[in-house]
Amino acid sequence: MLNLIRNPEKDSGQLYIPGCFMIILNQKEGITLELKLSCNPKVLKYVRKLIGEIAFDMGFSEEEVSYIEMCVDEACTNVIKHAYPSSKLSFTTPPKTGSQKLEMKIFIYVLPDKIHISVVDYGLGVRKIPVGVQSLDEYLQKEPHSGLGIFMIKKFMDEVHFSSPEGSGTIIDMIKYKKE
Amino acid sequence: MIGFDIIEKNDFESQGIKFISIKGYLDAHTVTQLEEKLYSMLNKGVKKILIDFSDLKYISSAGIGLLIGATQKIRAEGGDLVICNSSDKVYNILENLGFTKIFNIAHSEQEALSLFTKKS
Repeated sequence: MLNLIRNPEKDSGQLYIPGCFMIILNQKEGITLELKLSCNPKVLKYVRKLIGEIAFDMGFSEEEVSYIEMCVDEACTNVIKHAYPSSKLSFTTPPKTGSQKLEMKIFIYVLPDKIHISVVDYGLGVRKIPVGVQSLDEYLQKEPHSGLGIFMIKKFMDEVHFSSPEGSGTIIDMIKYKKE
Repeated sequence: MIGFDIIEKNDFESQGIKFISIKGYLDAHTVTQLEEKLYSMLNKGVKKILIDFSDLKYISSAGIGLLIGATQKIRAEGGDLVICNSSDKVYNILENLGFTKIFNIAHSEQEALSLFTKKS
């Protein structure tokens, strides 16, 4: 089955075959990769490794690579924790076989001047766009401690956008620009 | 690929310090292992915990959150938790987030011991 994916950088779409890890040649300007993953916390280390390899290959510094890896990890962790509440996913018990709907996708846009990563889930969506904590003090005062993941994403990435129509899942777009 | 491991060490036991080394990746998947270990120690009344970060390759917000909670709890009981031998990568993340002002982070075990001594 072929589906059309809309390229956020251009209006024209690209054809791809879903369900596999696929490299799509994105015309002149870069490469788009799509990962489809189950909401299994075991995937986190593989996602970090892949993102880290790509970012390093793009010329980001070691420090920037570690920040990009971490931000994608945090975004994926939020999906695993929050996107499918009725499924009672836990971090020690992987999802049962047959729960293919409990998935997330990561789109990695490798562009000349930046890396753009979208983490997409198909869960409930959120009524309010998550803001995370605004400062370390706020995090330390909050009981229980939460919101640090989004705080980190906003701190380490250059642009962060959330989109979450209620009932339609959530997309978090994260962009890191290459330094001159 | 390395997962996560906790190694108990006997050094400094005579000084009442529980010393563990954590190895690998501390993320949302592996954090429960450390949580069980730390809170087991805290529930037994341990007042001094030293954690060697030299083989820790990665820490996420889940790991940081756990360490914050454990640190706050142990300090409320008059004790302390000290981190030692962190890699530059992990240290930079903690520093950029401001956590080096919260945690006691030593560059060596000897420095860590002095931090415990200063406290008591």
